[in-house]
Amino acid sequence: MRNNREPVELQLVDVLDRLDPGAAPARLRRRALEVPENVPAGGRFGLGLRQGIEAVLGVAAAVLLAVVGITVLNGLGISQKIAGPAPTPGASTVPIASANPFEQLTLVGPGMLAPASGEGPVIAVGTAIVVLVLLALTLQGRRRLVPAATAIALAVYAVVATQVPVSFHTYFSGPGLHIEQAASAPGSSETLYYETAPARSLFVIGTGWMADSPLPVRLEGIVDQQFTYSDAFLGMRWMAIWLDGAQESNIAGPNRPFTPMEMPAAGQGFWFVGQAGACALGPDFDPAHPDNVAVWSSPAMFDVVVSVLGWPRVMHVEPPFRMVEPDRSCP
Amino acid sequence: MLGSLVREPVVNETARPATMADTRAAAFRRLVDLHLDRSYRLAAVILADSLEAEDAVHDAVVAAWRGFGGLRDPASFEPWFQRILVNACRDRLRARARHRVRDLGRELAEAEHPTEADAADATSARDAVDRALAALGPDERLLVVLRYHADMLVGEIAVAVGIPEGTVKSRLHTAIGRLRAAMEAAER
Repeated sequence: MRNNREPVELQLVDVLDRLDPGAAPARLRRRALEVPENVPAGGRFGLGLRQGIEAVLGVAAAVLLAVVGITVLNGLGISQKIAGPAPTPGASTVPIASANPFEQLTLVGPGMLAPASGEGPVIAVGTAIVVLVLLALTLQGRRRLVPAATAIALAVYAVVATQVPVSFHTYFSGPGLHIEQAASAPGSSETLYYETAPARSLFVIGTGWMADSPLPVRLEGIVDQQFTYSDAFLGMRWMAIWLDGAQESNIAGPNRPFTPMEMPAAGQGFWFVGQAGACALGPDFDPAHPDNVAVWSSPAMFDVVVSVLGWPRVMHVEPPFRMVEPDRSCP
Repeated sequence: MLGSLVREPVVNETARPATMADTRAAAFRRLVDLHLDRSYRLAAVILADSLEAEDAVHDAVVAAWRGFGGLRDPASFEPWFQRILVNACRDRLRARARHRVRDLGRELAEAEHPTEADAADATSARDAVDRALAALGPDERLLVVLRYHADMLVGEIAVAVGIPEGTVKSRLHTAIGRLRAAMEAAER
């Protein structure tokens, strides 16, 4: 074979042969032959166990990544875009066309979420990162790079999705149904509204929101605060959200039930349907003579669930108006 | 008196029946002993350092012993162990490439006051090839040694190193091209 080689190859063989030190030294032979005495053997069982652990961790990591992926896709609304909007039970997706659209806002439920809706995929992502790190430590060679890089990517995603700043601004508010604007106290800039709905009946108030964040913000809804007490100022309870039909921060009135949506840069008008408390002022209340009833005001706090990069979080948003309710006990 | 002459039986470690572990260790030692010289020579040429070659071979023996239980066919020990050794040498070459220390003092002194022998060697083709070989990257050097010192075929190299045959061919072609250019430059 060497006879057919060109000069550079022959020269190379000569150079390499000069590096050849000959037989292994005795000390290396001694060290090598002592290895079985000094080093615990892996054994077939050990190898099988290791391969089994790798397989289990690999499957667990794949399942967890699938769960995280589905959760994130849901949070991004991609699955809904593929399947189409999910109809709310009893809801009509036909836009409201009526002389008094507020009379039709009897549908409750759209936009209301359970209190646990803002927890996010923290358990799935955290578990996936732990499993991927274990897998990276178990694997050998370059194969460990894949789980290690995936774990780092997941950690970066979790940090970005949970830490990116988000804020909400309100750019209008106005009465809808069974609600009357109250005169502000002299020197006060507060906007006050009387709930004039009958006890346990619905009222509607509108407000426009604008989200401020470097990343797209998806509004999932508001948390349904089911307070156990109902005789105080929080006798009212938010029951539904309707979307305003106007584009680009104009107000046109309620148009359709809320569905999760990416917040437009120009803002979006919402109509919140609330249920008056058992001690509501009622339709007999005369806003022109409020002194007849002892009242007090309270902020109508919203616990808003938003998601950034598919990771939900709960934000406390205080609107620029306060609700006025009777200061009295009732059964 | 007689009783004091009767010796207690002594437990002799070497006399106990051989266990499966003993048999396996003995088989491993026999195989390592058989391939040690060839492995050491290969490692020394790959690394161009006989002392580091000893460490590389020892590391490979330790790794092989840990995985020996999974080796079903003792006849495949040689290519299996060679693959372990080649990987150990490649890791050392890469680590060396990352932490290459240059003796700048010596290089400057040689540049300013070249000895007669150095000057003569610098013109020789062999020296040029030697220097070009030292300048090759870890992977190229590994392939060149396996091909031109161990006389392995391209397919055997591909299996030992764990890369496609086409990659072996192209890297060898590139490496030989560099060595040829260095030799031709020295001859001019």
